[in-house]
Amino acid sequence: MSQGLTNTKRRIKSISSTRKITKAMELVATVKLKKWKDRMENIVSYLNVMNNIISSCSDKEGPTDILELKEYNEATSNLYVVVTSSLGLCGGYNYNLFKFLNSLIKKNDKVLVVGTKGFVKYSREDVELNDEYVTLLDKLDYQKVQNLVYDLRNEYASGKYNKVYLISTEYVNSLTFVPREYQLLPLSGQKETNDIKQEVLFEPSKEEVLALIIPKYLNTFLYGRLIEASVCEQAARRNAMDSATDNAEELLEKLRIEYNKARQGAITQEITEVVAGASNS
Amino acid sequence: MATNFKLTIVTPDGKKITDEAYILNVITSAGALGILANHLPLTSIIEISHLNYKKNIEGKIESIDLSIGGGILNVTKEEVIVLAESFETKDEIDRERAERSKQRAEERINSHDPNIDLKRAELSLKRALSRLSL
Repeated sequence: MSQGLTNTKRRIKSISSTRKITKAMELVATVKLKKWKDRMENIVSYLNVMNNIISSCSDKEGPTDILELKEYNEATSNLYVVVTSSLGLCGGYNYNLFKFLNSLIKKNDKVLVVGTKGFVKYSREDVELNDEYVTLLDKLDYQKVQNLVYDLRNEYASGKYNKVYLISTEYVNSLTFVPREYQLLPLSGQKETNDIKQEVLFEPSKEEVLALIIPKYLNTFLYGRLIEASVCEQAARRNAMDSATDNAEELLEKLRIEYNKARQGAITQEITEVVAGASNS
Repeated sequence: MATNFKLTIVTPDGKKITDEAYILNVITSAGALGILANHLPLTSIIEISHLNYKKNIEGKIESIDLSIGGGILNVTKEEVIVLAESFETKDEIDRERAERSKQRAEERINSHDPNIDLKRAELSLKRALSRLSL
């Protein structure tokens, strides 16, 4: 009996220390989530203005010689930029992305991974990989995103790819994250939503403004999506750790009852033995 | 008293200034521009330069200077928005860092190394000089 007692006690101890860890990780993820969320809100206002400018530019515009709008129809493969996490313990976050990507990817396609989890997974599979930007998210800043876009443009300009897609997770609310596909190159025409069209002056010319603004738009767009993916990652981790803590508590409760039962059993048995011994003498 | 308009300056990193101004002076790729209230809608490219706006607080004119690392100017009916790559006020500028990046850029330009992205180095030098001269 006492064997069972010590075993249960040991389990209680180990589970409560696990609970402490998951609780701490939950708190850390909550703080990080807050930080990333602030960043996301900041970039959203920037992106909105940019969207407005682009949509005011792109009305009845014929094909220009801007690289980002060029199409390479004869190329057969696509390039996917996949944003995964570098750390684990974030529930189905990465798995959902892999599932989504596998449903899209074809034989000739190439993958550029961000995040070590994705890198570990796809380096084992028969997928062409570009691993330059695996650690991009660790210390994300605008400069690094600019470099990535610069490389993507060069790759695209070489005419090897038909399209360049970004696969990242969209933040719907703190419990729902959806993997999504965004077309980066060629830039597809913006959907016109504003009906109140106003004549806008362009200095020095519309073409020059567009030529400058489109690469910038791409940078900001990618930067925004990367931040959004980080928000999702932290939120997913927080949720996973939250439920882990809950489960640990539930388990502890059960074990405590088990322990108390066993302890009471042992005491009862001892009393019986003492009483039996006393009445015998 | 001159009419005020709403001025917003934002960077992709989320740094933001929201203010009321009555004149905004910028240097665009087509030349210097002064924007007053009720300007026609306009989109323009801002050079790596200094940006200045003035506000009128109860008759007292306050002038604010910023060093801006390039950007886009967007004037709409309601407000004026500057999408800046980066901006700093006089107090925020890290002069040591600007000095260092100036030296680095100069070395790069003078090295005549074919591997060096000359355009990038020139832009970097321009930014450093703009910061130092504010």
